Amino acid sequence: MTERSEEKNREKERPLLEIRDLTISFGKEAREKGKKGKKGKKGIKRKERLSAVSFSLKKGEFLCFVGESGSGKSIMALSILRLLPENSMVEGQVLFQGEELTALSERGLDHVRGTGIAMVFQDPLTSLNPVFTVRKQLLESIRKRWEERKGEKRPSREEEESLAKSLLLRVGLPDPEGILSKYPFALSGGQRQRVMIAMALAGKPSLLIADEPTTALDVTIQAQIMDLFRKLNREEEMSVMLITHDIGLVAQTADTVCVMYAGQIVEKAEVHELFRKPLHPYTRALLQTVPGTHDDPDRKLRSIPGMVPEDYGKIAGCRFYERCSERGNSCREDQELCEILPGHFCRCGRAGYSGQEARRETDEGGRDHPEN
Amino acid sequence: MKEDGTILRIDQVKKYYPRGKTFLGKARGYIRAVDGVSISVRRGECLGLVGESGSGKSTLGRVLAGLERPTEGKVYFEDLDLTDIWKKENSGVRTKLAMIFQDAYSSLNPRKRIIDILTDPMRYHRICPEKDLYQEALRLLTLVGLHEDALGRFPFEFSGGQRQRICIARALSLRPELIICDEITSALDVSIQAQILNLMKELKEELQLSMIFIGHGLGAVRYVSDRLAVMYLGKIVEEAEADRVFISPAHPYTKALSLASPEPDPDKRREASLSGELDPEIPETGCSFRPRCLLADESCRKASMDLVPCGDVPGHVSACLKGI
Repeated sequence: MTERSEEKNREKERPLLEIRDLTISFGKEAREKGKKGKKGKKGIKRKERLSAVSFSLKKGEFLCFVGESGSGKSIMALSILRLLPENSMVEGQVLFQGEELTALSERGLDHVRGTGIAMVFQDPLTSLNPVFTVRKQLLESIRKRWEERKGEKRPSREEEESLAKSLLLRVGLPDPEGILSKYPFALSGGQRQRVMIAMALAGKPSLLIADEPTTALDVTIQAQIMDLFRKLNREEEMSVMLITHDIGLVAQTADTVCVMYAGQIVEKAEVHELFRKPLHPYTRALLQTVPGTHDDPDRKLRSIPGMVPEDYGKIAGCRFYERCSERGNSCREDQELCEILPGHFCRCGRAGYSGQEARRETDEGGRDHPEN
Repeated sequence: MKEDGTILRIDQVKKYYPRGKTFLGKARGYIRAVDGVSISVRRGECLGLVGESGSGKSTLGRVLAGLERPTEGKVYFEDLDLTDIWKKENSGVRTKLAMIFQDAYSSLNPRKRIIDILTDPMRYHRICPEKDLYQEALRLLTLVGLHEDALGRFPFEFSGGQRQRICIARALSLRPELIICDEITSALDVSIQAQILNLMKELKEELQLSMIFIGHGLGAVRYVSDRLAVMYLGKIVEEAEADRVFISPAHPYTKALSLASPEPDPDKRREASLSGELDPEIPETGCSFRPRCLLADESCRKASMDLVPCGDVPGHVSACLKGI
């Protein structure tokens, strides 16, 4: 780790968000039987979609989650604010500013939603109400956040209006007056997403969770939105958790990257470290599947055979085994997420070897001095 | 452009859609989706079309495939004028052009088994005798990397990537000479996208196919294409060898597009280089990229958007030379 990030660490010792052993499963029966008595759990048919995920997020950190669809990254994000459907079962701890979110009442969680953690989703058209103007929806979220912050004087209509305009200007919409009186259908995809971000910022959240916010947008608009996120992250110390499947986006934005596969974090590292020395075979393969605009013309893209397994909760041993090109006998055992290089975690027993090699390389290079 | 070996050539094609109507049914105005495009595709070549949404690249693809009639201009396939011949169903040209769409879910009939999806077009166009149909379907499936047991199954039993493979097999069933791929990997995961891109590249080599590959993932389009055309508001603004377009772009739009595409390297972080959004209100005169262009000045108000050669590189043309 570099000196700067170490300094940063000391500064904010307590993580903003800490997730411990978060496990999520789906299945109607699970809930019904679980209610009556906990003993009934055993023979229940349910699908595990997230398996004991733990991580923490520091203040001002830009954390990216990357993985294919079906890796459980969206479910994890939704579960933080308890937005999952009824038939889900969530186990584990979600600590936000030291507060246990899973233990909060619905009312208490409402306070965190928006003012503590805000969320932006992939599809802004379905997230906005089609029958109300932007003004109505944006003012509502401003007013709502005001109610949550107790003891403050209720702003006047004019104050709200000017706050709404300043929010829209902040997210890069140059004509706030015009936007406010429009209906969502009259806006372009990029404008809608910006309105969503403005609504998310209304509560002055300390953490913004963005779930594939630019998947439906053009690269040019995507670059603008990512600039906005980085600006918020840098200038206002807002932590950002970005969920995406675009490796390029990760490289362009993240401080720290978590690679997810089949409901587990398989690798976690600082972004430069991850792209320079990917340890997990899945990460390595994933990085080679992305075509760049400045590639060598003779480059052949690598594809990962097969796809993410369906019911991965039941797989014993490494979940990537079937698709892995480097598998061996030891892979049939369960893999632990281990710190192989300082600050670089990987869930692959065989990565130890390549890790040692990598460590030797860094030692020789004289950059870092790992201890353990 | 060389005349020999050209399989598809279009000349000043325009496609306007009426916008709004007066009470007499006359159009109030037009959306100029494709506004005077001339391109040609050589045999065995893959031409990539890139641009933001709204740039008219999909409309152009549909015009080329004969799904839309151009408002103006001519489409020549080999030496046949498609705009004339298109009315007569049995001209036989239809089998030589195939199209693959982005959404593999809605382009397969959910009530048909894969065997029927693949053999029906062959039966209709009498591609091979009835008794050989099964073998032919099997050959197509193997070509796209699926197994025989897929034949008896229905589309819903397959994943997105597999469905796209089925769509590719169906497109190949009539032994086309040119395939138009409209954003075929946009809905897929990166690992699956790589599979499909590699497949298309292999098929192109193996079957000597010509292709038009439309997409907005610049890296992906570049990967399969030999030549690239960049579109903006219905016009081609730059055209060059695929390897060259993003390395030494001439047009400011190409440059901006290339910078906006997220490069998978954390050491190469970039700020967004293009402000504003694509505005369908095209300026009547001058360069249509003018409102967003960083290099725009007074002269751009009158500038024509005709393609001019860039330096001495053969085949590299651009509508603006300010970016060099």
